[in-house]
Amino acid sequence: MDIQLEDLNNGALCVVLLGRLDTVGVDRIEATVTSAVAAQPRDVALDLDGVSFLASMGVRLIITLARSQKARGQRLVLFGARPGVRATLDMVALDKIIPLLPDRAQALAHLLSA
Amino acid sequence: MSTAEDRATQFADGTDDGERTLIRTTRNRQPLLPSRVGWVHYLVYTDDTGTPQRLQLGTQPVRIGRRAPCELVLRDSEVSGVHCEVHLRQDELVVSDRGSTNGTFVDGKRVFANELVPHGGVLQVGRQLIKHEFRDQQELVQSQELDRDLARASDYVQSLLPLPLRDGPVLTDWFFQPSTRVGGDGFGYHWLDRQRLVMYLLDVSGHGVGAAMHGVSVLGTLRQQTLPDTNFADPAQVLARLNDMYPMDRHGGMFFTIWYGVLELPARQLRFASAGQHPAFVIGAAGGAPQPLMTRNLVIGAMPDTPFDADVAQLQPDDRVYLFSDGVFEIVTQQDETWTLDEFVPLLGQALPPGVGEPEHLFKVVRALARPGPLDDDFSILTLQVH
Repeated sequence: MDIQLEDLNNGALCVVLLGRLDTVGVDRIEATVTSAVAAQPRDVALDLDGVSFLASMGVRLIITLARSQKARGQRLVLFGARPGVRATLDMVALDKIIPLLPDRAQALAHLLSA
Repeated sequence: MSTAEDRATQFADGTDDGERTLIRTTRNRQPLLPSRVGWVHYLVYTDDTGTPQRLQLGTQPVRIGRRAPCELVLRDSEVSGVHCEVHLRQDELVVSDRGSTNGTFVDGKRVFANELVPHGGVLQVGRQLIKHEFRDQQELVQSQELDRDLARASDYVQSLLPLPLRDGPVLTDWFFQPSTRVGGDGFGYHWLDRQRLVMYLLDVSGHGVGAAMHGVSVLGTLRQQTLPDTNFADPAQVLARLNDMYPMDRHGGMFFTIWYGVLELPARQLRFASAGQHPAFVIGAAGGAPQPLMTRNLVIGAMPDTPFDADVAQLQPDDRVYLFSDGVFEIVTQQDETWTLDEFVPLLGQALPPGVGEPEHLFKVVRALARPGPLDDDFSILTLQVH
């Protein structure tokens, strides 16, 4: 599991996740993700294009991020999920609380439009 | 294990604390990895029953094969009589193939003579995977105590599972195999009254004693019907009340998924709601494709004040309902491929060998398809047949 942090044009933080988002993967990146998100109140976009597998601990990480963003009045969007990851997101109905967008451009457009 | 040379080794700060290995000098050599007082090499493998075992290595070589005189015997038709041999060379584990038919592999690479098996490396012998551990004996004792705690947590979960219903209008059967890490599965059923049977299967996020404790708590709440102001015949309301009672921010960051149903007799009407979980399935007496029973709801505990949707299915005489956890299908096969729900579902409702219930049979089928070693997650299947 690897992680890259990027600034988007609108000032939002883009968190690029790469690898398996399972217990081991989450252990490796959770502290980096949460500290990066907590460093400054701003919208966050999670890039899931490089995530090959999403387990329950990965779902927990995403929900925790969504809750902390909501508590600070900021937004979280997900984009780029591959079919297997998308199926898991659908199964746990995360789209009921977090917008799921197909790609980075649409994620950025979503954050700019609201 | 330590050698005389190791014992001559001194830490730069004058201590002999085996944990403090950052700075030290050696008299004669610099080993690939520093010797550590009280550290021991182990081979970790799975025995015939699927139980992980740990063999401590000493000064004598250990032969690995299918029969005596091997010191480590593996009942696997792809393992040769005397397949390979390992021995310690100072602080290193070395393996040599003994002319086996199917070869010996270290981390996927075929090896022949005097090859190193790194710490944490995996030796493949036939279908068996054997991990090389090099660790502190004291730390291992503590780790084994944790394992015993996990086993006790697992036993506790199993003690709460209901007895199968062998007669009456609904027959049940189930199979539960906790993973070595304990996955937080739980399930049950009970009569609300003479005509309504409640059934449920839940899966707490994560593994370990914490997940098991959380699962036990939820199981107790459902069994004892202790949710406040709740109509337990109303699946959507039950899930909403569970969501109120078990928010993840007040329960160690854990959420859970659940499938909850209420079967009403004699109408054979099944009201159900699921949250964050794959479908249950129903198969008719005449066979046919399994029909999914699912409602899309957020996992329990994720967000307060979440609405939950329910649905209803009309069952027919002798329909069979299947509830199971994701540990049943999220396996890695012997071909190192990750399985999915779509690959598992066609196994439901197939002909059974005599004397074996379908849940146990499905476990055996999945077990045979999965890579060697314990399954990664709890394996829970519950079946209910409606007369």
